[in-house]
Amino acid sequence: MRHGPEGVEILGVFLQSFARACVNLSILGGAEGERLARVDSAEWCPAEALFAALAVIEARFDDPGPIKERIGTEMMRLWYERGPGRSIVARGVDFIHHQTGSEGYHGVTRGPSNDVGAFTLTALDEESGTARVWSTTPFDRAVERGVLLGGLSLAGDLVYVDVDNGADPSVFEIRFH
Amino acid sequence: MSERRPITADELFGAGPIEPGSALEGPELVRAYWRIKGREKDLARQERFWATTNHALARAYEELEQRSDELKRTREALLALNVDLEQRVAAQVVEIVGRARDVEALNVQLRAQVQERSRELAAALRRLSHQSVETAVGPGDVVGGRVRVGSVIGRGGMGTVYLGEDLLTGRPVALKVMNTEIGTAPDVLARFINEAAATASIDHPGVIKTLHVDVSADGRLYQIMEYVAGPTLTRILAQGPLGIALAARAGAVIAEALSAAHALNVVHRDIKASNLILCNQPPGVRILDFGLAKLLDETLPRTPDTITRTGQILGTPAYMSPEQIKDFASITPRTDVYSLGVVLYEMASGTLPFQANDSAAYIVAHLTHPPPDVRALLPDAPEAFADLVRRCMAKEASDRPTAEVLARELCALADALKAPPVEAIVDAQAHTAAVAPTLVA
Repeated sequence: MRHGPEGVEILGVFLQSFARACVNLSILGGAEGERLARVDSAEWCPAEALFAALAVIEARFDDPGPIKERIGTEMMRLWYERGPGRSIVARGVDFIHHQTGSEGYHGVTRGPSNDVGAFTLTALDEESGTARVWSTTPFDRAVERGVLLGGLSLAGDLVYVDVDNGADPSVFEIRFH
Repeated sequence: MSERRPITADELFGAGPIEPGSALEGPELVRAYWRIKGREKDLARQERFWATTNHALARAYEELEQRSDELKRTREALLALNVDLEQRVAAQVVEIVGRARDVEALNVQLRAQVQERSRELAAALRRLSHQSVETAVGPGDVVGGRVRVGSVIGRGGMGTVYLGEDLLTGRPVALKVMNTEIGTAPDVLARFINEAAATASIDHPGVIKTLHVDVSADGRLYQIMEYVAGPTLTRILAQGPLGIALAARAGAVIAEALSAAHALNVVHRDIKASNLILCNQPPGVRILDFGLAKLLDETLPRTPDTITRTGQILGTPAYMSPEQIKDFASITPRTDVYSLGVVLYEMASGTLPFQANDSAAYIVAHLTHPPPDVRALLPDAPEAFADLVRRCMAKEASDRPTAEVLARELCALADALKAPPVEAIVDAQAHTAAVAPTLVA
């Protein structure tokens, strides 16, 4: 049983980040996480592995939303603390630009454009501390919410970050100060 | 009023002390506000995360509890099953042990019964062995449920012979009721009966048929035979010798009958004149008491005294072959041929080839003396007849002719001498007395 569109691939580092976050949060067992992480970070692999893992997580929790959001945040924490995050992003707002640009989402995902989708910044007002991101990716919206939360808040310069997609799961209303 | 000292949001949330009079103003106040709001959001998100996690843990714990209960119930069921199985096995073991004891008790009973029956049988056989010579049989008695006893027609060391009536056929028969000197052990009786059965299967008119042999309900061994009216050869020869021709003719018939018996591996062991009945019906001579001598040989111990005491039990000394004297276990059909050779000499000359006063002398003669030439008494006897007699009486059994060869040669000699049929002997002698079959000469 497939859990996502066929043909979408992700960079190994993406899957590793996801697996490591799950292990750190004790969402997946050590063996499960290690199996997912046993991938070459520079190689492309089917995104189905990530989709399938998420399906397992969803089956284990009655309300998996907070879990998946936390996974996304933990992935960003690893990106900042162990990855290139600090060298790429100095401010939380910069993260939005990075993630919605060619180096962010599209740097770790490939495949048919209709299936890959996009992570698009549709509005940004730094003075009022608001932004809007529109997601057409095949990935989970709660995880993406967590990515945005972690990416903005863990940059270190913002004291308040809130990401809300309650009105439309694919539209992330961001507030920051 | 003291002067208010502005502080930053970082100082407010820092680890250092806040001095009285400190105040957040302007952007720092806003900054602090948003920081608090941000912390609220973080705390709210963490609270939701842990709530979900705790709920999942609680559910997992419940499932573990349920599985633990199931395992516990399964374990209890297995324990109960084991207890039940052990009880069943124990019960079966008790049952098996009980049955084994029952079987052993039955075996003890059976062994006791078998032993008791064996004792009864042995006592009956002992009674049989100590029976007096005079059997308690009288005219009118029915023996074996088959023969009505008539008059006594002969007596001997072995038993009494009666003329009887076969109730099955209505024909006259000779009933011989044995004395108890015969072996009474069950295996001996079985062999005797088997020998009688073998004898009964001899299909030759020269053999008096044994119709039945058995032990009666009261323990008497009896033999039912054809009844043949006629004198024994002994009685005939008491009137004088038969001569060469008739001796050859009679000898041929006897040899032919012996050949038929030998073909069935039956050896007579006691061919002698008194065991040969002559009658006026073909073939003119009948052999009596097949199988009996073998029983006697096997039942009585061989001691020197046995031969001398009875004179007849292990064979008739005047007619015994060397192997009968030395080792009766080596008796073969050629043993009968030897004895027939003696009879031939006797029939032709009227006298026995060896003359002796006692058994010992006969034994020495048979073992060491060459057979005498019949032509010493009968100079006109044909060379062929003399040679036949000599060959029949060879010391080594293998040097004697077989009964079949003997019959053929005697028949040819009798034809050459134009000998009349044997039944003419009785007519010529005009003896019509009833047969007195005896077991002794």
